[in-house]
Amino acid sequence: MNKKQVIRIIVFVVLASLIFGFFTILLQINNGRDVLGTYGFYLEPENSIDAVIVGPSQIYTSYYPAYAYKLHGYTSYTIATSAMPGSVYITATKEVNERQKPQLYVYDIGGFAYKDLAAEANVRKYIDNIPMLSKNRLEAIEKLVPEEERDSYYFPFIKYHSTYNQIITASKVLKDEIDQSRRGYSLLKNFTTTGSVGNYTTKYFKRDQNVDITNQGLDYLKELLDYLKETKTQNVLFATFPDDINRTETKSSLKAHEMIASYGYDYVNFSDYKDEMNIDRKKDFYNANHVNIRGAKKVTECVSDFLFETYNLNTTHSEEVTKEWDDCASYVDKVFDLSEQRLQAYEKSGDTKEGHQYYMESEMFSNDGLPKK
Amino acid sequence: MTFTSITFFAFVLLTLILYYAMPKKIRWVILLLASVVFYSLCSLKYIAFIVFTALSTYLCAGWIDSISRKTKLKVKAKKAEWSREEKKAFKDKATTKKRLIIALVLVVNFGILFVLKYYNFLSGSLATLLNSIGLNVSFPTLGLLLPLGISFYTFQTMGYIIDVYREKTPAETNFFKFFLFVSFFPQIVQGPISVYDDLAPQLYEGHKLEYKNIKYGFELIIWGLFKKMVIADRLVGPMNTILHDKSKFGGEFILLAVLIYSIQLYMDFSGGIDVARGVAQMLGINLTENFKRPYFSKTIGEYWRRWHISLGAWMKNYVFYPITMSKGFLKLGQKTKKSLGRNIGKALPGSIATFIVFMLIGIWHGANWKYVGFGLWNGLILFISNLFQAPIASLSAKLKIRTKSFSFRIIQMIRTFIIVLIGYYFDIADSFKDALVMIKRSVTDLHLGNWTEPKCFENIGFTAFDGYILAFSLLVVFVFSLYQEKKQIQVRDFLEDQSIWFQWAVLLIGLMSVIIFGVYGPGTSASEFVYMQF
Repeated sequence: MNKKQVIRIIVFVVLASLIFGFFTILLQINNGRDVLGTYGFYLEPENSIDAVIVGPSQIYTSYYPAYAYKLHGYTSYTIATSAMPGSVYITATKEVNERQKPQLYVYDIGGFAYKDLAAEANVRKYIDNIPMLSKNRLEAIEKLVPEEERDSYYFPFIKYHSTYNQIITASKVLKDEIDQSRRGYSLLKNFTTTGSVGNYTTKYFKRDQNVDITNQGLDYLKELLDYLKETKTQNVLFATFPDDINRTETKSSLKAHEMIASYGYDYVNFSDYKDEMNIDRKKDFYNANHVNIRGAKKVTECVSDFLFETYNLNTTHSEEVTKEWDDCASYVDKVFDLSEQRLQAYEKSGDTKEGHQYYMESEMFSNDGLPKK
Repeated sequence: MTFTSITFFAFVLLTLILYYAMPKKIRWVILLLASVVFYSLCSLKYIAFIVFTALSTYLCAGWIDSISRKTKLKVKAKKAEWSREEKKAFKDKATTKKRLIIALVLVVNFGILFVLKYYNFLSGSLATLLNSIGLNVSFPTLGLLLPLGISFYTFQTMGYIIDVYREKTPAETNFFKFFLFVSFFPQIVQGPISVYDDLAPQLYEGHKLEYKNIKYGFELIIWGLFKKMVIADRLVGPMNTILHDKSKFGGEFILLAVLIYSIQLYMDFSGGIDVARGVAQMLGINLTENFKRPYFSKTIGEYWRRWHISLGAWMKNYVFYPITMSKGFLKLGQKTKKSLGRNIGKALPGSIATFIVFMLIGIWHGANWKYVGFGLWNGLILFISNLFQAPIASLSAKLKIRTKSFSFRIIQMIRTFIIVLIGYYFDIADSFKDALVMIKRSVTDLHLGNWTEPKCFENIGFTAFDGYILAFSLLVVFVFSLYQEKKQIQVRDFLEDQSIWFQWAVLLIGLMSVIIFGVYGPGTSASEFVYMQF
């Protein structure tokens, strides 16, 4: 083999790797919302986030970080993906600690109440969207995935290559990701809302539920608490975010509360404050588990008041960080107005179906940053 | 470690690096180590079987070879002293000894294959038979799985020892080199079954790193993976949906399942062979071709010369010829020529031998009466077509049928394909009886109009996307095959004459097609290579 042929092979391998890399990124976009929301966290300047809120969809639909900033001046980010299990909260916390030094950590305790805390789809929504070679990701894989199934986590293409039939949607999300990257930060900070009102005849509605936390859930909770203690984390709040469910505590959930208290951390059920928040269950929910834009406004106001006052959050930031967050805050009213318009149009239409009309950045803002009509 | 896994390709890459990094003289050692590691990773539990076969064949081949050589030397030395009769008597004695040795090796090694593969089937059948006549008998069953590639390496080694016995090839003196011939990793899984004289010298020669070998090998691997992962594996799910619950589907779906199987089997088996040949070519080794576009065959005989060529060649060399050249068959030929006339009488012994060969091929496919049916069907068709070949040719000439015309050739191809399809019913059925029921239903319960129903393919788990991918992929395979068939050259040679950008574009599209459209990963039902089980 001569020199020219060796060069040809190298160029071919590089070319093939680049094309493969492009398709790997594109086809791995399994859930645009989770991809953009998780990716946005890594764009935040180092040590610029005052509070992180970790949990499943109840978090990103009800807590709007830029609105909290507008109200109180502290910066926050929701590390949340749909049905995020408590088993990956520790991974999320470690990822946060690699880049940020938050004054406060908030965890939705609901993540520990899933029956299967290692469910592939739910685990992947978070760990497949954080940096591929992050040691925390590799650690999570070893902890949660049986050895014979790990290949598709180390090489996610094995899993996602068959999503080629969603390539157009994925391309749009990729474009959003590029736009977000060029802007340098996420405008909504993983907040995702919906402009619809839930129809309470749907399958999602189960108003009366027992809060059961399995032994596996308690183990993961203990693992997280141990880590927080080890890292001498001071301000930690475990919470239940408001939904339209009548929850009955059980022995296991009470045990979880006791465990949290034994480590010196707090637990608050924000659902108990729905009246104070003035939440109207017929107008403020998208479905039984999630508030809509109206509910999100009320929840953010209440929760941010509580966090700011209880934990006495310091709101001093660098010029760069202030500029970024001021920009994000300047969109808050537009977001509320636009979503309200959409919601009213939805109500007028008489549509009673529970449509998944989540609005992400790309659906809220056009390329020049102005709200879409 | 299947041929479609990342682990396999990492293994191949490592082997290539080590192979070409070593001095030429010891490159075969790398191949041996790679083959041992590969076998151990795939089938460590059963490695003793392949070692036993290799060792027994190696020792006995050496013994036979030594007898042959000593006999020749002694006869040469005693040339002047011994009479012709004495020489003949001495040679006969040696031949008897060699026959005993080879018989022992054949019986023991085919015996192992027989016991592992057929014991449960035969003991079960015998017990059923005895129970049906009132004797309540049961036999213990063997809980053994088949060692990886047992059929392939047994046939290959037995072919070798027969060649040594026939003095066509000298016995290998180095056991490790011989073990490499038996266990060479790209071909151990599903063949092709190689002849010692063709393969062994290539294995032992330290090949130079050549760009063309790497490129051609890579192209062949991509082509094989495309056939296996994009086409064959995409068809497994829909086919199994029908076959696992046949009663739910009409005859047109049974027919559809057989049509799907005809594509799936070819793409799977030939794809696997292409990967094996591609890996070998990257190492500078040319493995024999195993397929030559069999569905273009105009007769069933031609089909079998284009399908699993290495098995056909093995059967021809080591079963068909010994039968037809045996004293009994030669005598039979003389008798039938006299009693049945020149044409049929001449063809009858060969036709009987062909029938026997196909019964063996049927049984080789598996321990089940349905495979006996498969052999019987193919054997019978070949028996009849061989027997009446000459009368039919003369009838065609009398009727002035233009047998060389395009339309006639198309009709011949369709006819042959239908015959092949009927054989496939025995392959995919649960039993011999089930195959007959399926054939009957495909004819009597046939509502082809249902294929036009929009939900028809959805019901068997086939999405519109699958349909587009499959249609395009099959078109690509058809166009390439047609090109090869017409020009009788490899597509790779055609590609070689094009600009480098065109070559790369084709390769990159092929590679990305496999990666993106291949059926693999969690949640898919990608199958093992079909012929691994044989």
